[in-house]
Formats: sequence, C-alpha cells, structure tokens
Amino acid sequence: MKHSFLRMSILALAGSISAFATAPQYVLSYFVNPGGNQTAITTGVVLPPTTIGTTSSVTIVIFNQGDGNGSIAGVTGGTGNTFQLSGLPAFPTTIKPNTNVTFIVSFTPTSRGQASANLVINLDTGAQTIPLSGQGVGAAFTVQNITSSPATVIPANGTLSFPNTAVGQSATITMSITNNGDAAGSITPTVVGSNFALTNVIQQQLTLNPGAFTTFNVVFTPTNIGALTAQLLLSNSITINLAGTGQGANLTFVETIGSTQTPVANGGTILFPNTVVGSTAAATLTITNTGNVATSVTSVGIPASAFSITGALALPLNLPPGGTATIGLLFSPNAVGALPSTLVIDSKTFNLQGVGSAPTSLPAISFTGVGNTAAPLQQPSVGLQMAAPYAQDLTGTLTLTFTPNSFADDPTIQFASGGRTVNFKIPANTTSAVFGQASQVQFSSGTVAGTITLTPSFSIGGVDVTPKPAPAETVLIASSAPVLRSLQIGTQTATSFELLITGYSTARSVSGLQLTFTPSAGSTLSATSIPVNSDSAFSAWYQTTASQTVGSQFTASLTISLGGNATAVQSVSVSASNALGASSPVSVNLQ
Amino acid sequence: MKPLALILALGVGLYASDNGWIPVTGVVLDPVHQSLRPIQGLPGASLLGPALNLPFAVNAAAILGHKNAAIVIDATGAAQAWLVTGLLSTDISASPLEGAIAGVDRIAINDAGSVAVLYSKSSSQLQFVSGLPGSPAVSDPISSTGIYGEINALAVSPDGGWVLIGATDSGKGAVYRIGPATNNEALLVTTLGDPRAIALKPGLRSSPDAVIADYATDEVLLLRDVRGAPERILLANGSNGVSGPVAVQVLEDQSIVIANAGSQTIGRVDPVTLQMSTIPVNGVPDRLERLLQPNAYALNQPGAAPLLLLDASPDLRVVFVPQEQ
Repeated sequence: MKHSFLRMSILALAGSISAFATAPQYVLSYFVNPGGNQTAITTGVVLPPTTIGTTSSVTIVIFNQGDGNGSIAGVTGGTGNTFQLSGLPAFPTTIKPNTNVTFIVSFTPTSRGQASANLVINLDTGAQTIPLSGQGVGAAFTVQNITSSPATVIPANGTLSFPNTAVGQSATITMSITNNGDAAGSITPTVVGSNFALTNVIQQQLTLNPGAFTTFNVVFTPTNIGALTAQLLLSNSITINLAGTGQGANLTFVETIGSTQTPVANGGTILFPNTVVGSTAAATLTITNTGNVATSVTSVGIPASAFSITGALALPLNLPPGGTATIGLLFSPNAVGALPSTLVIDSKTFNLQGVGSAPTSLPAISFTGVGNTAAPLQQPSVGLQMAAPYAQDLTGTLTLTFTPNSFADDPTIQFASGGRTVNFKIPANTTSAVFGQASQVQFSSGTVAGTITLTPSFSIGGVDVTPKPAPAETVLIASSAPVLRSLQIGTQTATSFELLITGYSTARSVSGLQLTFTPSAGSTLSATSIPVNSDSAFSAWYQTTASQTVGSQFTASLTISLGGNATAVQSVSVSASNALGASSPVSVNLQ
Repeated sequence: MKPLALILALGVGLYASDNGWIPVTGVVLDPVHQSLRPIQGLPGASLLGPALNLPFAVNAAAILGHKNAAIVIDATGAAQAWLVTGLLSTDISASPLEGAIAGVDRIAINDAGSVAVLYSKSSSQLQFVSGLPGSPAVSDPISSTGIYGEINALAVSPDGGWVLIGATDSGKGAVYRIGPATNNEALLVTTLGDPRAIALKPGLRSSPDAVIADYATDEVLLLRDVRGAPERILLANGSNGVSGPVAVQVLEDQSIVIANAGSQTIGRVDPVTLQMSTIPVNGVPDRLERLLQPNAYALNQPGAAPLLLLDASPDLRVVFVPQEQ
C-alpha cells in the first residue's frame, strides 16, 4: 500500500508532463527490497551496500502516466553475476496508461568495493540507460606472524615457516588476525595435518568486527625427521600453509646374510641359518643414519652366548647424515637347538636367533704308538687317529685312569704335561690328534702292576661328540719280580757300611734279599752269601702313605757290621725276590 | 787267617723316616720357586718333590755328589755361598761358607764332591773350597783377570788342585788351567772357538784328559794330558751330529755324552769305536747335570716345560718328570 501511494504522487507529477496528447509517458523509479522507499530514477539506481557473497535487490518500476499505451521492447543490462535482472515480463510488453511494469535488479558482489553496470530499457519512446551502482562490503583479515620482528604478513595461501626443530621438541609462532575490512567476519582457526597444533585460541569460532583482532599460537612439534607441512584454515577463504623441518638422527639397520639383505627394526630379529655345532655362520649389520643430524653409536654388545661380534669395534661409531657403519656378527653354536641371544646397540635391542644343528658322527678312532702292555719305568707315547678326516675342528681330552692290582695308586703315572688328562685337538679335515705341537703325548707307566686305561673325549664347540661307547685303550703293567736299579754305599765306618738298595717291585712285595760278598784279595769272609728275609719290612713300607707317592719304588738301607776291618770286603752284590721271582743282582765296590 | 765275621743289621725295617725309603733321582734347582727340590722316584717314574726347607731363596746350587750336601748361593744381592748338609734328611741345615767370595755366579764340583770352585764374574775372582762337606776350607781368592772373555765352563780336577776354565772373548776361545797347582796362575791349555763345556776323564797317564765341547765349531775334542803337553783329538763334529754342544759328561763306561742344543739331541760317543749315536730330546737340552742316581743327568731345569732327564743305565734314553700343573 505504501508503494501505491507513492505511485499516485508520481502519477500526479507525470500528469503535468503529458497534458496535451494521448501518448505514453513514463516515470521510472525503484525501491530497495524489501520495503524500501520508492525513489525516482534520476541519475541512476544505487543498490544498498551488500556483503560479499550475499545478494541485495531493488525493484525497478516503469509507470505509464500518459494517456496512451506504451510499449517496452526489452530490458538489458547487468554485469555477469554481479548485477542480474529477474522478474522481467515477456517482451514486447504493453504498458497501458496508469499501469506499470516492474522487474528486479539484484546485486551480488564478489569483492569489496564499488561495482557498476548499466541498465538499458528499450521503451517505445526511446531507450533509457540507467546506471546501476552498488558497493560490496565484507571482512578483510590480515594475518601476521608477530613472533618475528618485525611482524610479517602472511598472505592467504602464503606459508608460515617454522625454524628447524629437533624431533620431539617444539617451536611456537604467535599469529595475529586483524579484520581490516568493512564488515564483521568469522574465523575458525583449524589445523589440517599433523606435527602442528594451535594453542591459546580464544574461541574456536570467532567473529571479528571491522578493526578487531585476535591472536593465537601455532606450535610445531615434529614427530618425524625432514620437511613437514600442514595447513592452517582460518576461514573458507583463508588458508595458511605451515612448513617446518624436523631435525634428528635416524638409524636404520639392515642385516646381510649371504647376499640377502633384510631391514631390521629395533626389537626385530636377526635370524641366522641353522648351523652345525662347531661351525660358524656370519652376518653383518649395517647401520645407516638416514637423519639430518650426525650421531654416534657408543655401545655394542652381545651377552655371552653362541653369538659374538667379529673383530674389534672402534667405538664410538660416528655416523654423519647418510653415514654407515657395519658390525660383523658370528653365530658359533655350542649346543644343539635354538640359541637365542640379543644384540644391544645403545638403546636398541635386536633379537639374535639361530639353531645349532647336531654334528655328524665321528669316524672310527684308533690309538697309535702305545701297545697293550708296558714295562715299568717306561714312558710310552700315545696318539689318536681317525679313520677319515672330519669337516670340523675337534677338541678333546685324553684321560688316563689307573686301576692297580693292589690297593695303591701310583701317582707317578702321569702325562708329560702333568696330571692324568691332556687336551688335544684335531684340526678340521685332518685325522691326527695334536697334543700341543706334537702328534703324540708321553705318559709314565709307573712301577705298580695294574691297568692303565686311556679314554678320549671329543667335543665340537663345547658339544660332546664322543662316540658311545667311547673308544678306550688299555695298557697292562704286569706283576713281576723286583727290579733293582742301583746299589750304593751310604754311611761307612771302619767296621760297618750301609747299603742303599734302590729298586721297585710292581707287585709291591719284596720278600727276600740275597747279599753276596766278595772278599778283598788276601781276605777271607766267614760267609759270602747271606739271605735276608725282608717280607715284613717291605710289607710295612708298602702300607705307608709315603710309599704310595712313588708307586712301588723303594730305597732300602742295610747296615753291615763287620767283625774286623771293612777293607776285607771288596764288593757286595744284592738281588731281591718275591713270589714272582728274583731280580738281577746289582753290585757295588767298597774299595 | 781267621775269617772276618759279618754282622748284618736289618736296617730295612728300622729306618727312621718313611721318606727315607723314597728313592731320589737327584736334587735340582727350581728357578721359578728359587728352591732346591728332590726328584722323587727313579727316572721314568718320578715326580718333583716339595722344596727342601732352606731359610733363603736359592739362586744357584751344586750338589756334592753322593754326599747328601750342596753348595748353594742365596738369591739376595750378596749372593752368599752356603754349605747345606743333610740335604735329603729331616735335619737339613745350612751354614754360610765363611770367607767365601761374594757374588758367586758359577759353582763347579769335582767328581768326588770334595772340592768346589766358586767363580764371581763381578769380582773376577775364583775360590777353591776343599774339605767338603765335613770340613770346608776356602782358599784365598784367585784373580781371574788373566783369563780373557766370558767364562762358560769349569771342570775341577779330581784332587782339587786346579780347575779347567773355558772362556770366550770376541769369538775366540781358550781353555785355561788355574789353581793352587799352578800357583794360582792361569795357564793356557789350548785355544779353540767357544768352549761351552768341559768334563774330565781319567787319562792314560797320571794327568786327566779333558773332553771339551766347542759351541762355535760344533766339535767335541779330547784333550789328552791337560796337565802336561796337551794333545787334541777330535771326537765328533757336525758330520757326526754335533750341533750346538752345550754340555758333556763322561759315563762310567768312559763313553761321552753330548747335549746338542742345536739339534735337540743327545749324542753318545763310543769309547772304543768313537762312533757317535744320537737320540732326540723333546726339548732343548742346556746341561748335563749329574744327579744322585748313577747314570742320571738333568738336561734342563723345571719350569715352563717338563724337567727332562737323561737315563744312561745302560742305554741312553730321555725321560720326563711330569710338569707341575
């Protein structure tokens, strides 16, 4: 109704213009939708300030205040999508007197500032060109890095660059957002991506009036090494790129077994091939620093196990960016079955796994050098021979045991190297045992009747591979008549002399001594041959602890007292006997 | 003539000490423990016994034959000479040899064990000790300055009147005779390369003969009549197997045994044919040290390797005394 009233006023005005003819007479006006005041079009149509992206409109009114019909051939104008016409009638259209034709001009600014276009109305009285104008209004955000000095402006789609930051550390930049536009605007700061975050954001969605500003922090906390990016979305139209570089060393590990290379991670497993006990399998672990900061490895270790590190590592292992170091690993199984261990490189741990396989059986073993019997006081040699070469290094121990016929052991029965065990080795692909540097080892046969048993044991890398039953060689020391080694003169006086009789009796029995005296020239002895019953004396001796230190050996003392001058005796010979026979005599000259 | 009565005392059952029954091959110096240790048992079945109980560490020693005694040099800086008696008994005792020269490096004993010669390189002196072991008497020191070079061999005459000395100076060696019998004057007996060992043997005349090992020429020489007009006879040389001879001994049968350090052998020169035979040694012989058992000699000293003995009763053989573990 309001608009009708206005139209009538205009009509009155127009009537004075067309008082003399029956012709159309047009009055052009417009009003802002909705419900704006109707305004005559004099210089143009001004649309109201309009927020960018929104639409305002005016209605154009063409009123025929004449007394004849008018006609409109068409209406054109507008600029793209900024100014658009709508509500147009079908042209040509007739405007009867006192009627009007309306249509709408809408304004949708895409940017801030003045926009203009022309509207052309083709009336039957001539074309009317009407300037259209409007102002786009909106918020205009200025984004600044105010941590830098001076503050720097980050344009939309620009990049906010962070300083290089160690992985796990943080760098913070404070951002300032100011609305320098002519309309309020909203921002919703949001980070899209990882390694970056916002802090101190006042409100997730914030409306900034013209001239207002807000601040918040962007924090860069790299979790990875290298160039890292994300996006900071402030609004639909403002995106800031975030960029930073995570700094740090990064060690990668690659195991190489044979020609196969396999990456292995911290906590991963280095798997060695099944390996026969006594042999070895090698691998290498290559450490590469794929990071952008130099680092070093300060400790590398494997606990005592079947695994070891080959060679001597010169620690620390310095690893510049891109640098590598190689650690040699050796698997030397000393038992059959799974033999897990660990490799610790600084704070990283790798599982070492390998399986020791059972060695193959040994070839037949034989003894060399030694016979099945040995005389007392001998030092026979013994060696070990395999029927065929063996593929692996063998180590072993040859053990000597002695089983005396009597109750007493003979401690003099020992290997030359001392004791009753001797170590040997049989190098791979050979057949003969090596004792130290020699192919055989000597042992003493002692002086006590009994059986010496030689039993070897074999091992490969600590695993017993001795055949079952173990090979053994026995050496018999026979019981026999006493043997005298020497007869010496001990204490000697004018009327007596001492005989020191040294010998042994493997039976640990000397029942009798036979003394034979040879008179000096011109002398006569009352007796030249004297038997001595020595059974009890020797029995007592052989039961002493001292006697057992030298097997069956003895030095017996006999003191001979003479009824006259000792020079009457030229020499003495002695033989000893037991149940098995008599010894050869030994003699000594007194003069 | 009235027959001499024989009264037999059966000491076999009455011996005071159990240990007295243990045969002892000899007594050797253990340089590792600086002690004297008996070789318990006979060659082929013996062990090194515990150290003899002496009140000092021992640096050098010479056993006085079968006299159960020894002259030893203590390991202190003074290198005092001591007479040890009762060597293998429980009442072993040591007495300093009063008047003996200090700093003794070498001791030589005559075969009977009655006379010793002490030599001090630092003081260039020799000294005779007679009356051993019961009544030791030291002679005045004798200057050895008339003997040129390094003294490597000593051999004391049976009567203790002189000593043969082998010395080498700048690649030239000589044997000298010196002692009371020469009025303590060093008499040149012969010259040769490097006399490393000398042994005396009964000579055809009253003067002993000497067997000399020349290390430089790999020769073993017989020097007849060392006291008179010496005559040199080559007994064996490299072509016979002499190699680096370092010791010689004369056995009871008058055969000569030679310790060849170079070839690690023991050579034996037959007294009749003068042919030399050798047997191997599983080690390096550096001596032929007479032991208490007849025909038994030490070829080295106990230490890192087993003690080796030469058993010459009657055939030569080398036996070990098990190494201590």
